[in-house]
Amino acid sequence: MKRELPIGIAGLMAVIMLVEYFFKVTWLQNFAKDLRDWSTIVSAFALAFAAANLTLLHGKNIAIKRDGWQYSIVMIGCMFAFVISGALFGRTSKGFLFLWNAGLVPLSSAFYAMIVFQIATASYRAFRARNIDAALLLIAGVLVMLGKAPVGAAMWGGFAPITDWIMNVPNLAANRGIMIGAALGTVATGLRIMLGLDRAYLGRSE
Amino acid sequence: MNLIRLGNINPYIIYVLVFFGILIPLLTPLGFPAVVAPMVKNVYAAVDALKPGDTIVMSFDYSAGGSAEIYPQTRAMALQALKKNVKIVCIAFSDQGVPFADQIVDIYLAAGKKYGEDIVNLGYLTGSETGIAAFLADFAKAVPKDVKGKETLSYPLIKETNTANKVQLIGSFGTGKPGPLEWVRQLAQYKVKYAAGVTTSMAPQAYPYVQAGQCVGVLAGMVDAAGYEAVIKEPGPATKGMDAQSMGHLVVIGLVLLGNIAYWAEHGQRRKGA
Amino acid sequence: MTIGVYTFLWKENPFYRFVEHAFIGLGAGYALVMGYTNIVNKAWTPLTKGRIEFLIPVVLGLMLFGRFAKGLAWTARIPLAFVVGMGSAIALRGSVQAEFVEQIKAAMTPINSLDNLLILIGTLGVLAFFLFTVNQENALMRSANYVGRVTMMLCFGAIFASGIMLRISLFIGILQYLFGTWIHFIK
Repeated sequence: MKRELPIGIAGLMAVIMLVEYFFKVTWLQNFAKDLRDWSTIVSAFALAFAAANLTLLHGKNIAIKRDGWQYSIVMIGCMFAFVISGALFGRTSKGFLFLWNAGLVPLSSAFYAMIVFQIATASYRAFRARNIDAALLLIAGVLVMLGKAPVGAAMWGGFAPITDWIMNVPNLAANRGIMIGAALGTVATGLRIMLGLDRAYLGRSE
Repeated sequence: MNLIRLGNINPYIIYVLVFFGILIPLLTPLGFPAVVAPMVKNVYAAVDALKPGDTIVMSFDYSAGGSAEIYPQTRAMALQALKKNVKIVCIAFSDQGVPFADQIVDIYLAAGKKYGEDIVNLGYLTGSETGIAAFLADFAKAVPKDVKGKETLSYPLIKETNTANKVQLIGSFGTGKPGPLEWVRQLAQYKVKYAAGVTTSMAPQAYPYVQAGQCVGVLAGMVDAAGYEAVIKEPGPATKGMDAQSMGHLVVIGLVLLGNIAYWAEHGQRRKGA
Repeated sequence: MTIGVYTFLWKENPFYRFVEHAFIGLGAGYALVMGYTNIVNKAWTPLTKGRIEFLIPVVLGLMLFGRFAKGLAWTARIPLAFVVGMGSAIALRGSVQAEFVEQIKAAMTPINSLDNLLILIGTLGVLAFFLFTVNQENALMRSANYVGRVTMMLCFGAIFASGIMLRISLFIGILQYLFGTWIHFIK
């Protein structure tokens, strides 16, 4: 029952969504609309659950003074600062906007951007034309970088058309082939979930 | 000169080269004109084909981390839409996309447009692809209240265009999921044009959709944002970054070439020795 | 805080760890605020107006928290199954049309140019490369494999270049913030 009920629900929801898509039955389509809206509400609760999970985990770290527990205080403090300013004072309050503009945006950008150094070092160390395949990869990569940047167009007008060709022919062909394969995978996974064969989302059995 | 030593450059020297290679052109611009890719022209043409009073849905599916690449794209599209007197419905399927939608609303309001009639920000909708499916079927049902906490259906813009079939163009701007894949899947049952703005790394995967006619064009990162700014003649943050982008590319290409020279020198020496 | 992130390039240090944990906390807090707004607007407000059917998603959402109670952990599977079942079907139904039918249709464009021919051959080659249940030893499959591999190498080169371009663009954004918005060196 603890596993069969969720499997049944997953299958039922999948069947409703599929039938509603292919058969234009008004009451079923309206019901499916409601179900989709309910799903977005459950997803919103999932965000709250994630925050609660994070709080419990780091709260435990602080309670037992695990190595690095001071950083857990920083994490929980920042989280609740955002929650309090947003929930009590609103999204457009000074405190909320300060945390957004001076905290989250620059930090988020900085973390994403930091990888430029690692990527440059990795390209220098590992990107070697050891064989034909690697040489093709290297040549295509260099040509695309030169074709996309203004300096490439300033050096030679031919880089941009070559880049367009690489993007519109081999890149398109490869991505199309991969996409068709991935589509088959999506269909297979969807059917497996619908038929109850894929139960990874249920977690460990009790 | 021992070419093999070129393969052992200290990583901190590489960090310094990358840092100054990108910073110096920002401080002293070189003035290279932006490259206008064919995809940019496609997106521009799609917005240009709209008539005054038409509606675009702009979906802000990107996080703050990717805003340097994506925000200039949204700004350029919004400026072109403003010139065409086209209305915009803003929605976000990434929680961090909402403040960026606010910035687009500010652009419209600063130009004298009215909130609720010419532009509206419906805020964040959870659920990723399920949320997109719910939204496209019925805007007001999926998002009962906008960011201001008012009933969505109270706005004339939403009353006129409450479903995907009633808008003329949908533009999604994302840094991951949901992206063009999810949008194209959900738009399969609607007859509405779709344009995508993505990070440069996601762009190659979106080309098959353009060739298949499922997407009018894909804007790839800051480079295509600069091209878009050039086409609409409104230089912005992307245009200012292009010299630095060029130099960054040259630094990385230079490093890759150095590494390969060292590799082949070492390879040649090993073969001689063998 | 931004500079604190880049101290990691020297070595991991307490300042970096402080900034890292602050980032996670800020991100989680922001997501929670946005999620809370969704719950209030989409579930709580209709419930208070008498729409009792919204009790169903609210109860499902609260069942997620059953994870924290030892005897009730299994109840968290129900909302997960609800979301996963629906999400997989929504993806499946769109996928068949958008990724399968339309892409195959597009691959069958008239071969009136060298590019169209190359796209068709490349697509077939890539598909053949991933056919693991077919004997790959005969000449046809080996050739198809080779074509697929060459096509993918060119594609991966483009993807690699795109990845580098992305990181450079993001770093430009950070420098514009530090030296433009903050210190005003960049006009």
